[in-house]
Amino acid sequence: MMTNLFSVFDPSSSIFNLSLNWMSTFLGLLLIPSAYWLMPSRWHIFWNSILMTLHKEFKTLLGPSGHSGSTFIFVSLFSLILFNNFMGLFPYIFTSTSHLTLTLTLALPLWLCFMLYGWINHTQHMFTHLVPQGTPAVLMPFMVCIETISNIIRPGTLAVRLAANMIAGHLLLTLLGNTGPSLSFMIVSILLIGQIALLVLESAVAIIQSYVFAVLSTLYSSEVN
Amino acid sequence: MAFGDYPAEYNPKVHGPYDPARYYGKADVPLGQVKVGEIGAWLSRRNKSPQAIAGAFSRAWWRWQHKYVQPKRSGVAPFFQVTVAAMTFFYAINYGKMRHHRNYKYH
Repeated sequence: MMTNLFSVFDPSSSIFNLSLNWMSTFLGLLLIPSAYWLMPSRWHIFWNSILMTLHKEFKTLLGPSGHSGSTFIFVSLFSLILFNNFMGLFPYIFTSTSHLTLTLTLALPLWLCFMLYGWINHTQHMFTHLVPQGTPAVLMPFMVCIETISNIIRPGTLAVRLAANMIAGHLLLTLLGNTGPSLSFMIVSILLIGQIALLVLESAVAIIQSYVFAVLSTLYSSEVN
Repeated sequence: MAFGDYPAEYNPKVHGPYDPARYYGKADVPLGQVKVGEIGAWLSRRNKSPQAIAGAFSRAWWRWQHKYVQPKRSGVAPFFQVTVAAMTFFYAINYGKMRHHRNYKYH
């Protein structure tokens, strides 16, 4: 039973300290509409329009040489992270994407697969990618070092970007909320308005971060081929 | 009966197209009409195997879907129903941890 500032991020529940809070990861499954009738409902139209927009965007990013059908994994990734981020903003619902365990689980296998596939099957192409177009010949060794390092830290940056954004938002709201009991009525109303504004910002951040994760994964996969 | 199979009592020639919200077993008194003294007998008649419990959850899920999500002009109600249900669920499982929060001096 932790009583510190980060208790919001504790996945253990009060039922024998089992980590049942991780079940919030599956909340999106309840919200994604299942196709039953021929005529789509409003939810279906809404959800499908979002998915089609993303699909077209990712298809453009992947370019003509991208394997058709590879947009599906990135669109699914987007929806998983979106639901986790957004539902975590509601009171008492756990934000599973604020944990590196989850974000690294998403980022590391993806990156590793891209790298293994690229280096084994398109070794020459991967080597040429280490030197950007238009680099002066003098700078080429340094560019190779820099590009290698930036490549290696990619799973880390993907994971930490998502986790840190989620943690920062929740932490800020928690910190502001903890000062509440000691303030006068007037100041508390200002605090509440500030917290509501932060909540709106956090919902935008939740959606944007899921989009960023998906887009960057798409770009990393397009570089391999 | 494996995962994804139709219920054993379902017969397409008798029942027509499969409706996941419908119970195809032996008809019993609806729960809303059972007298209080007969609840024990009613419960003992029900099938309580894991497949039957899973089937009950599946039918309840599809009934909710048919009422709130699948209609052409559905609104935002199902989203908030899921959200509120999730909030209550997570409040309940974390209650023990949160019980003393208001009495802590240092948070």
